Amino acid sequence: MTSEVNSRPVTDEMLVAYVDGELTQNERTSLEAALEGNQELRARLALLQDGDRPWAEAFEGLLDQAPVAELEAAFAAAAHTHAEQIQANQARADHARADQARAELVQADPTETTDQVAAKDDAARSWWRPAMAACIAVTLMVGFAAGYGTNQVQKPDIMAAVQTEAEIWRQAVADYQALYTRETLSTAQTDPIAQSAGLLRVGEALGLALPDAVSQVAGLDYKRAQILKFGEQPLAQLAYLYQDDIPIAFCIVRLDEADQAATNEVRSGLNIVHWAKDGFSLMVVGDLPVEELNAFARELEGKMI
Amino acid sequence: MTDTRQNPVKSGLPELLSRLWRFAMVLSHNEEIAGDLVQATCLRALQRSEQFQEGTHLDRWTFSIMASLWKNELRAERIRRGGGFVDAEEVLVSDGAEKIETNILLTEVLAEVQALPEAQRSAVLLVYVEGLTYAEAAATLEVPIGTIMSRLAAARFKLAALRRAEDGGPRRQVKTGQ
Repeated sequence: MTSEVNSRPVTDEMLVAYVDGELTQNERTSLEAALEGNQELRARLALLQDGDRPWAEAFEGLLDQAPVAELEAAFAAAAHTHAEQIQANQARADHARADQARAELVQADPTETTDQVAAKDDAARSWWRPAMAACIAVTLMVGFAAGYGTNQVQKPDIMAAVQTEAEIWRQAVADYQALYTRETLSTAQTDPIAQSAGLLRVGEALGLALPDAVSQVAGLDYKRAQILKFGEQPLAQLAYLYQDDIPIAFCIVRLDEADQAATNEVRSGLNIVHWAKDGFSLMVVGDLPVEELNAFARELEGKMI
Repeated sequence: MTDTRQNPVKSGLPELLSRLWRFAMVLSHNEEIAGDLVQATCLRALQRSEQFQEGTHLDRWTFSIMASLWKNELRAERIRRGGGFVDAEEVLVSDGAEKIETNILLTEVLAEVQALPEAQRSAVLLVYVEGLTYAEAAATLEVPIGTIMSRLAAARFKLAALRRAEDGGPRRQVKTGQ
């Protein structure tokens, strides 16, 4: 295919590729044909060849100058930093859950012994399980009973009767929130730097950045952020106090639900606003009138973007 | 978690350190920054060791990490420390010059290369010294193959012109832009 090369000007790039042995056999043959009788092309080729040097040998000398001990120290430092990062990532996830759950129980009763706290800690981690099992059991029984009662041939719609994971989550949060009093939050840190660090830590455990703005909601006194656990998922809980009296919680968990606009419901006697976005399920819960709770939820939703 | 004893990146990096430093020197022209660049490259390589495919070339994989770190993060630092531009005075042949003085020609080659623009130096190092193909060098530096070819051609023309000037032979104006 000499015509292809002959039909267009031979570039310096092609010549250098020729010198470096980077052309295919066909390209090489055509280029050599083009060089025949082309004085100008041969002059350019000669110039490129004049630019050749004993590169490898020259740079071998530079290799000998490498500060080996310093480089080994640099590698050791990098390996050390990397090992620390791995440990820190693991410890952050583990400690955030254990310490925060324990801290909360200590706040509830400062006179408890460590053993009692640890026992409660275990209970706190697993309390949702029987609750979830009970919910499913009850709804299944109701579903089957309805099917039998109507004496219809069609099977009961089990999937419709069973609560979704998101519903169980909201019920769990509402149950937990119902136990909160104004005193529960009275010992929370109010130092802005500590609060900001808390948001950062909880956001990291959750896998979703929590901007400082979520702690600045007009009408709500921000108290603290902590990580709880829903099944295997980290659950972020941001606690606020309304008019120094009513505990309000803004909770987030990753359930990978489809996006959903804000919706109201009542669970355990508390009003709830919940929505889902980008795989995260979010809810604001508290003993407030729906309109007021919705206003706070709208503001928080805006701050999360 | 990855067992570090079986981590091919962690076990393979130590023997690459001198070559990494050489590439870092070619990029930065500064021993202090070259050391920093090697350390940053090791850390990034360890952090990404899960992405390394065993059986492929660890040296090329690590060179590309270094090139990327240099391009995106450390070159700005170098220019800042250099007061706005990268000076060509601090040289590849500085401290160790006497060690290789016995071969003046080879020292001259380093001096010539160091006078080339950074983009040409890195192409020369990867292709002519480290033996990468054009395609491998292009992937390492994240540029098209044609760019590698132009840089090598420009570097050769520049060096050829230097030699002809020395020899008092015919001069040729050559563009050596990156």
